[in-house]
Amino acid sequence: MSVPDQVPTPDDRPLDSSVVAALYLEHGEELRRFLLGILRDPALTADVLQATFVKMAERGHETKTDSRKAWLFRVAYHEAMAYRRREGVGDKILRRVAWNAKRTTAPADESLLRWESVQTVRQALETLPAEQRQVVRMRIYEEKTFAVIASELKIPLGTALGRMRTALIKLRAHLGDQFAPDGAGDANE
Amino acid sequence: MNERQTIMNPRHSDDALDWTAFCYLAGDLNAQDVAEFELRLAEEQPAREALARAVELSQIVAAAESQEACISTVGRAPRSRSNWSTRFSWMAIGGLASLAAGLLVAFQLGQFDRLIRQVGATNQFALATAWSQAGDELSQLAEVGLAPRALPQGSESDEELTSSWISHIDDPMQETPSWLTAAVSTQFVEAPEQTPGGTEAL
Repeated sequence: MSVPDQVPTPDDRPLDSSVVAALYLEHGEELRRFLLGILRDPALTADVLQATFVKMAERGHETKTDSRKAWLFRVAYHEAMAYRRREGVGDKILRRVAWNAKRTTAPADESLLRWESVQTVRQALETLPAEQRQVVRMRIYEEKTFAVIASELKIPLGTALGRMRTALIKLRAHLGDQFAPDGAGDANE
Repeated sequence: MNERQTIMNPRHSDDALDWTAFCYLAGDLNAQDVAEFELRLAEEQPAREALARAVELSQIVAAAESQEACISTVGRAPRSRSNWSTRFSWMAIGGLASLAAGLLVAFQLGQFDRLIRQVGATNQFALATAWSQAGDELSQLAEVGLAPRALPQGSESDEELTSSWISHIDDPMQETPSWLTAAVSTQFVEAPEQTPGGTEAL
């Protein structure tokens, strides 16, 4: 007789705190970045992240072990969208830039890991063709829209988009495993 | 891009998903595309992970570009600071060297001065002794009538004083007084190395 897919713990008790902590260590950082992509605000991101793991502690025993990551992301997404609907800040949020370093408050240990990634990316940027490097800089660092970039460089909008897309592909390829889907930011493990 | 292309080229779909996630993150999607992508975020774990990757890559690129901007902006300043720092360092070294040289010279001069004082003290002692002896010898000369003629106080002229001594000295019968010899001999104690022969110059 096969075991049902969703089997609560025999005592139907919430997950042990150590299990929740382990899940946070494994998926917390990637989940935080995901939420930042939706909410564009570090403080809101922290709040929603906390709420997500509180739910995991309360109801995680109802999930299967191998699907808890997807469960966490799904819960986080719904929590974030619920906040946006509640506050009516959907469009306003989407106009923010999620990668502004001044608004990002990363934990100290992540900062140490991030430094190595920054150095790797700096080297990767130097390998890009000048025109691609320029578009990357104008879009991400100078936060100009692609329309403005195309206008300033006197190139078609599609060309600006194409250069950016090609550059991102090269950067990801250069950085390799650091951006693996199941281990983002855990290159040292 | 149709479903067949997606299945046959997963890498192509990954790139496309990453690009869409970046455009969503950058705010470059129109309202319809935003809604479609957010539906995918609600249902597809790959789309969520693509968005997380886009956030991380964008943050790192922004940090890298920020570093480059800082380096290019302050690139000259460290050089000028180092120039001034170098200048001050050399000035300090020069000052210390001058001070050290001055101290060394002062020390040596002090030593020399101490030596001269010692010699001087010796000379003074010798002169004092010589004067004392001269006084005794003059007394002895006076007893035998050979003492120089005393001149009235305050009325002596240089010629008179000198002539009295010359006549006294030219007298072949006179011995060179010992105090004179002692005064001459101490001149060579001051700087025994100043003359080639040192004390042999005596």
